[in-house]
Amino acid sequence: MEPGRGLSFGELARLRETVYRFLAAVLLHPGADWLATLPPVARALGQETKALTVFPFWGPWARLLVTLGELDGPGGKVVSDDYTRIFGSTSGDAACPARESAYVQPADVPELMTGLHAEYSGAGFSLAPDFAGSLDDVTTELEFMGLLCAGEGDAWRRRDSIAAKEPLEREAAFLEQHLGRWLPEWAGRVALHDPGGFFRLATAAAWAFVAHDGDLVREAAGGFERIAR
Amino acid sequence: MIVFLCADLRRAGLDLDHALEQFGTHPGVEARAMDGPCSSPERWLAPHAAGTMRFVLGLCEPPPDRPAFHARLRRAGLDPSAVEVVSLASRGERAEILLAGAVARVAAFEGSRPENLKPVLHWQGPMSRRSLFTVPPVHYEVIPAIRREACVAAAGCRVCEAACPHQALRPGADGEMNLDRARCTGCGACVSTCPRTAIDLPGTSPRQVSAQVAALVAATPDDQRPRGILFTCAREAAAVGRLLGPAAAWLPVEVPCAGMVPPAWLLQVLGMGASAVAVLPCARDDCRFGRPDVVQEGVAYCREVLERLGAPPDRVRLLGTADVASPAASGVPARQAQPCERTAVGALPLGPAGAARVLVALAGTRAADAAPRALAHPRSPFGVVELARGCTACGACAHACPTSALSIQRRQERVAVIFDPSLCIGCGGCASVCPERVVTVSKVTDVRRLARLPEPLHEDVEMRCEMCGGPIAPREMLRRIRALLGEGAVAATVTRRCLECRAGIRPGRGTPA
Repeated sequence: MEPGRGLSFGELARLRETVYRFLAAVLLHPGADWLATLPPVARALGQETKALTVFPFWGPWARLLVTLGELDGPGGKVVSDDYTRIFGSTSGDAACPARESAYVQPADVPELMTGLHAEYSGAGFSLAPDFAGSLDDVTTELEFMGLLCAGEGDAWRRRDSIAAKEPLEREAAFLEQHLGRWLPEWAGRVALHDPGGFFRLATAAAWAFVAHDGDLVREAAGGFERIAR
Repeated sequence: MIVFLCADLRRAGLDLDHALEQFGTHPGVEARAMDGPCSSPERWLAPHAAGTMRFVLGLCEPPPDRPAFHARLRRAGLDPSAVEVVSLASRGERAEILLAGAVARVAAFEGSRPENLKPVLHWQGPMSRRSLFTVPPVHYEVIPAIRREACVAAAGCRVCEAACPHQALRPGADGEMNLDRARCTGCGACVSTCPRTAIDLPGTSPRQVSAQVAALVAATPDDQRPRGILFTCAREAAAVGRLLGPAAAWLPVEVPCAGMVPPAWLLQVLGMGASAVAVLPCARDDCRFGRPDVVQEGVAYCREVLERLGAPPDRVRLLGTADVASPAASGVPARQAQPCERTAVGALPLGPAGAARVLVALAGTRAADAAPRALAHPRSPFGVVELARGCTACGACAHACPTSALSIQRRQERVAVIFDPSLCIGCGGCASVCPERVVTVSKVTDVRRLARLPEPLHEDVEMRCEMCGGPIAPREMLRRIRALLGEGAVAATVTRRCLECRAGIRPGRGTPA
């Protein structure tokens, strides 16, 4: 089968939503809940996302799932310590901060945060009152992409291609302006600081997926323009 | 790296045992003969996906549908850029030469990144809203990616931007070069022209191409028959492979597009020991590069410069597929007896520096009174920088130069702008940043200058601070400042004292001398 053949955009959106939300969860601090929940989910996802084998990010994605699936043993404590060492705490001394504002000029941070707020609210999302994270945290941005994919998937399921256009265009713009910009540098830094560790696999999988998704979504949005012509 | 050879090649006349023995002794290379259908070679590779990541496949015939083959490799967890396929049936004694080239090319592979792959959806037939519901077939194109840590666009370099025929490379507001992935066709023109090798194209990096060429020309050191290197557009590679029989003198080197092969590569390949070098573009309407005139001009430049140096111009050619097939044109000109050429370039990566050495070596074989005239040509890989009066030695040109052809040298009381002609690529970056507008750059190949050591273009005296004796600035710069500020007290202070003494941040450093 050629990549993509036989898969509907609705199914693809659902799979992409799963990947985004799972990656967002993987990149949270690995506490007790994380260690109890994610390894079994990873084992199940290997089968559930089998349709993605046709895409080139499958390699890094599959490696992440296999490694994570084996983490509910003593390896969990090591991963937790690694997380703090690599991504740091709130003190701002992290080797590889997991937030976009660390990868732009300090003068541009206010504009970035305002822009993110506008992106989130423009897509109809508001932050929960007890939200303790940051707008530009990798997990927030990945979760937002997951939500956009969910909206896109709903539209495809209703067979409403016009309604699918808006989330697709939002996804393309968000990937180009945010995740697609800073993830390569972040993943590169993590590769240097954690060459053989779990978070190197996790960030490599995140970047491989985001890099591919940015192009794929742009190409899909281009389909609408072809109809317009 | 593992070299897999199809066992059926024995029947096609390949001395498989000799080949296995030869490649099995390369450090880090394992060579195996396998029984298996050539139609699904990925089955051989998949079991090694977790460990070995680089492979050479010696097959009877190449897989007929390359995109589908690459898709199968990816599904098996392999990177197609790390797999080199050589079709060896009916190649006779050329088979081992071609294998040596492929092994060298894969050995120089440095890995790929997610951003090197671009998915392209193939919408088929007339489009309707209904056709949007199903994902159409996707194929993948390998495209370049910029290594930010090596790129000097922020300092003003625009070489890749000028080389790209699709305006896919543009600097952002921060000065960093950005690649518009949607516009990029993966022709590789930016990769071969980047003076800092800051643009990666997995499978076809200048380092890989250089390694392959070196291996091809070195594979038969005792063979005095002429051997030519044929840079072949990937779209024509299969057809060319079928046409080049066992006695053909051309050794193909596949590139994504002929537009990637600059004149400097052509000249340097001659210096690596090839009798001749040729470019074979695809001549299709949807050519990735889309500028056949640029390729033609590059070949014409090489021929002209060779002629001026007394070398046969037909050592560089532009070929079509029919030329390769015709017996007359497949005869490569005999190598000229110029042993200095092969040693001149050594292990230099393909580029202007290596090409400069080849030209100097070629010129060195001529009588001293027959030195060639400089050749002005838009495709010259070299440039000449000249300074008019008024240079203040501010160093802006040196800072902007991506090849360090310009530098500022400070020695005792002297300050000089130094120019190394062998490093200049004539990009004009220096001229665009000069605040005094005294720099001119021309695309000129001046072999006599290429042979010379770095030379000062401008020299001046470093003026000293009247308080501490430290350097202030070159005399011409101070004259310029006085001209701008007039002869008032401010100008007097600025031109007689260094920055630290003016700011009073050198406490206790004496009184005016």
